[in-house]
Amino acid sequence: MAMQPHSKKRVCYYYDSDIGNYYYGQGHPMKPHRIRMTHNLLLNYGLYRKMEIYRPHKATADEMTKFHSDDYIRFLRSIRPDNMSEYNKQMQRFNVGEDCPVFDGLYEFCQLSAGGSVAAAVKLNKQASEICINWGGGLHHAKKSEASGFCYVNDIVLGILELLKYHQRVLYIDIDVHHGDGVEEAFYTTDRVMTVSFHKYGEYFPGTGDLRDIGAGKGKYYAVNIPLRDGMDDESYESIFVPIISKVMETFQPSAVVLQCGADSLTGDRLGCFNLTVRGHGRCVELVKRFGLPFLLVGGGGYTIRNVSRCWTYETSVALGVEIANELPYNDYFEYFGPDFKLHISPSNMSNQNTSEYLEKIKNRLFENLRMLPHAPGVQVQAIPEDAVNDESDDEDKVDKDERLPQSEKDKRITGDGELSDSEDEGEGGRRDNRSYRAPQPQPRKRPRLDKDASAVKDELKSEDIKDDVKNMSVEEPKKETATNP
Amino acid sequence: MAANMYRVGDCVYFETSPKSPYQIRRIEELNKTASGNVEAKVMCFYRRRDLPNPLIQLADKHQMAQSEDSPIAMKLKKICLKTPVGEEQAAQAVLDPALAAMEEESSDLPGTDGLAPKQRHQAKHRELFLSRHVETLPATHIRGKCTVTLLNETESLLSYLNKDDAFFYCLVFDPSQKTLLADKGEIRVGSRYQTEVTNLLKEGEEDPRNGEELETLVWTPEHGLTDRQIDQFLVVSRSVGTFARALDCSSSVKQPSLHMSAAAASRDITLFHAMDTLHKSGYSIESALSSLVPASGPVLCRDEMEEWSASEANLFEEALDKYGKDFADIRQDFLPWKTLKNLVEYYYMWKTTDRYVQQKRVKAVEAESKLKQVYIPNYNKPNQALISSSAGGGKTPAVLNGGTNGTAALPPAQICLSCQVTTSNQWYMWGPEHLQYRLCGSCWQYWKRYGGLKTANAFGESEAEATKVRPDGDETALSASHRPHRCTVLNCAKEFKLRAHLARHVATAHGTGEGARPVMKTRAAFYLRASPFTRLARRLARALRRPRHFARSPFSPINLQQVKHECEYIRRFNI
Repeated sequence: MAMQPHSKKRVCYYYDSDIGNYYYGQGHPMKPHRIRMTHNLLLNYGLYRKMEIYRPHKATADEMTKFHSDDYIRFLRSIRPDNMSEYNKQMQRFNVGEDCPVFDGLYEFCQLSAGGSVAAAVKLNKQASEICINWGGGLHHAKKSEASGFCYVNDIVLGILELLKYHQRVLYIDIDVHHGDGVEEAFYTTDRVMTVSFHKYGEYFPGTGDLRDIGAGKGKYYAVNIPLRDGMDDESYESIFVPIISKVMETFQPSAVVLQCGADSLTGDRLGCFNLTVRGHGRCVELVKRFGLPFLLVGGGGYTIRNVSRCWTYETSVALGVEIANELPYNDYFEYFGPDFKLHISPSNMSNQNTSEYLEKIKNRLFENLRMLPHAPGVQVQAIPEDAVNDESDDEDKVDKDERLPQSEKDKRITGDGELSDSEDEGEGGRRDNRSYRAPQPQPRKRPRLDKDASAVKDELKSEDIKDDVKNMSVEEPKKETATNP
Repeated sequence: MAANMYRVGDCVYFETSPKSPYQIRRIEELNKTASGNVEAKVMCFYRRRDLPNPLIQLADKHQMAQSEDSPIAMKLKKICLKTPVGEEQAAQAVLDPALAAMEEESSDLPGTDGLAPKQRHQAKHRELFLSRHVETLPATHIRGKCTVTLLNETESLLSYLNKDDAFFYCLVFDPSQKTLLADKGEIRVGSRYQTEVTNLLKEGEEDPRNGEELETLVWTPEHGLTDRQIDQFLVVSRSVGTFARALDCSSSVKQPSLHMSAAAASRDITLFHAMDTLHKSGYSIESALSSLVPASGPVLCRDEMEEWSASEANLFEEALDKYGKDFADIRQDFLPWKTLKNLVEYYYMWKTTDRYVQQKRVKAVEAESKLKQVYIPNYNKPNQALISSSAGGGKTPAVLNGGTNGTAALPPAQICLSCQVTTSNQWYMWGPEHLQYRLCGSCWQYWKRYGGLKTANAFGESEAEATKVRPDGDETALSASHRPHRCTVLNCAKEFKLRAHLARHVATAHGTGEGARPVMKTRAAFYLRASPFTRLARRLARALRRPRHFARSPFSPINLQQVKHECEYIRRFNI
């Protein structure tokens, strides 16, 4: 099958071969080994050779204190299992000890995880890649001065901070079964980062993520929480993920996306309570990828490690746009995947407590909140393509006004009705020209928004828009290439 | 069948006493005991009726605070729920006068707007309180499944009422401390929690980050090699590895057969090394090949699995038996010449071996006592409270059937206290025995499941349950929430909406009781209030009232049900 050149993405992947040997301690569910298992699967599936593979640097204390407090990082750097007793007080203060134990090489582990996400963000900024993957990252619970939920250093926040140098607005999506509280808290009061978290809520760690938590100050309405109940399956997950993300893309118009792919939302997870399959989980990656924005994929939770590595392997293949066989290739950890030795897993027969009615209500409430957003903050009016004049306003794009784009470039940017941006509209040349995602809609509809009674029109459009989006997302299947399975 | 399969994580009804409603529990563990019975470790949900009154009031306030965003409501949300309120004083402290004004309308749950009073009444039966209290019950006491979900404010309570066995909760109850907590974390706001947001780089400003310092490229897909060529190179590198093992003395001892050497040379470490070699040789197969066989001999890559000797492996297993997976201890006491990383890597590879599989089997046998699910058949034995059809007929009301007046020609039928029906397949005794209350089959089921009567009844629950000893002992239901609390001191008779306020009043105005806790605590204070219905009944059902008779025998009960029924009858037919 002939590949259309533009459906292939340049993918960079970050991995350090040491990562699998960090060990949280006896009985601790967090196992960095799962990242190595993923890596070995990638090699034997032949996906390794299709990506740029990088060994990340170890993030320095300087880099980490861009978000974290100095004394917290100093503490992480100095604490070791053999000197723990001297740090009793600080351990309490920084919440290190129980869930977040002190283990051998703790600081290095944080350095690698953070180093990967930061390097990946810089890579995206330089437009040297379209999709970056760091399965060693995604530690979304870590707070500014506090460890939490197996997370010490918040690589995601550090990565987003890096992205913000070049991107006016960054979207963070979290599909871990736990609420992405660390990231949400870090950006709770800013309108430049929207955090969207889908998670189990109610008598569940970390306890935050209520529908009513929507951000504060300038960041009001820029935190989006989707509280879910036990037993979410692929179908209901997609039924809420698609409309919410479409709407968020449309209203927030980010120019870069970070997706936390915590795999504890899979069925049969040791700590989770959802019923997603690898396919359903990977579907989220696929959907976000289709928006064609600079895209950072990070890991996260995931405590049934054979399924975690299945999931992240599949998601790497999705990022690459390559189809892989259901039969797992032989590898060092092949025996972990018995008795079926397949890539895909089946959902269990647990009941889904999320009725369609419940999801519908949640969705409507969130739409109401999203309607409160000023349309694309910081940007005045979108270009109106028919006029063929690029009058995008100042503070987003610092494009040299005198420098016209070649007509061919512009033509590429006009998105067709049913087409979701897979276009490579970023030219070579390293220009800093991060355009926002524009919803793929018939152009005339854009205009009424500028009118005085825009809100009324918007209301009227709302339901239709969404249906369109859903349709669009499900109609177009990406072109895929079958990988040879060595 | 599936309906009778109970799994860990399910919410279920437990019957611990035939006469009281089911208890709602969530199964945390199912364990087989030595005698072959199955015990369920369960987490408790509490019903409204199980909570002490002040807490119920707090819970209602919380609800109101949730539904309105008034500043007072917000204040409430913050204070009430964090204050321990098991003691009356505490409750009093919480409910400061500013809030007292809101008490009246406070008893509604959110989303009750537009609910009929009856639905509102029933909605209260669907509210539960989560607790962290865990107990162990025999699995045979399970009586069915139910669902308990955290109430979301977008939901209407009607969605729960319309579904059988559906409950919701908002708050967490701590039975030992007698406190309520909102099950909600908090996103903190302030410079100690948020990050400073990086500014967009200005036009022409260069990012100081240098890509090379941040990462090292180890593979690029822009290599010009075909998949076939890469695969071929991988095969070659494995062959080199096999040959290298043949030359290596220690390997040839460990892997006596060619197959074993080939298998060892096919492990991922060899493949990764081959890829690295390709990259380092600029994706030239030729130069990569020559670096596979340097002057020192063919390249040999061995991982921990291969590196370890048989005796080391035995030591490791022995240590694992002794210390579990505490690798630091294992290293210190058994394998000090290995690093911790060696141990961890080896451990995860060791898990793929047959020896681990055998161990796992042993473990699996041990774990057999932990069940994932259990089958409990439907429970069909008649409940104690069931009135057998022969005995139930008309015997019991006969005592009160002495009224010979014409209007009393009603059949001595039984009336369901809750829904007022007179015919039912089954009748159940309900409430304290001397009151002779009856429930029809469906109302009985309702009572067992939801812990209340279908209709809010003038005589209803509160009185009947008054005689029931509350779990916490010092509660009397006669002081039910809608009644004002009146001071019992002579010539005072002030009324208070809250018992706590009354307590304060008694303590300050009359100085009785020890400290702030007066009469209230030791004896049930109650008064008789004639409701309009009662007054009406006094007139209408005169024949049944027989004041003289009852004045002479104060201990014989008046069948209120019958009185009520007669009133209804008279009213309906306008006699």
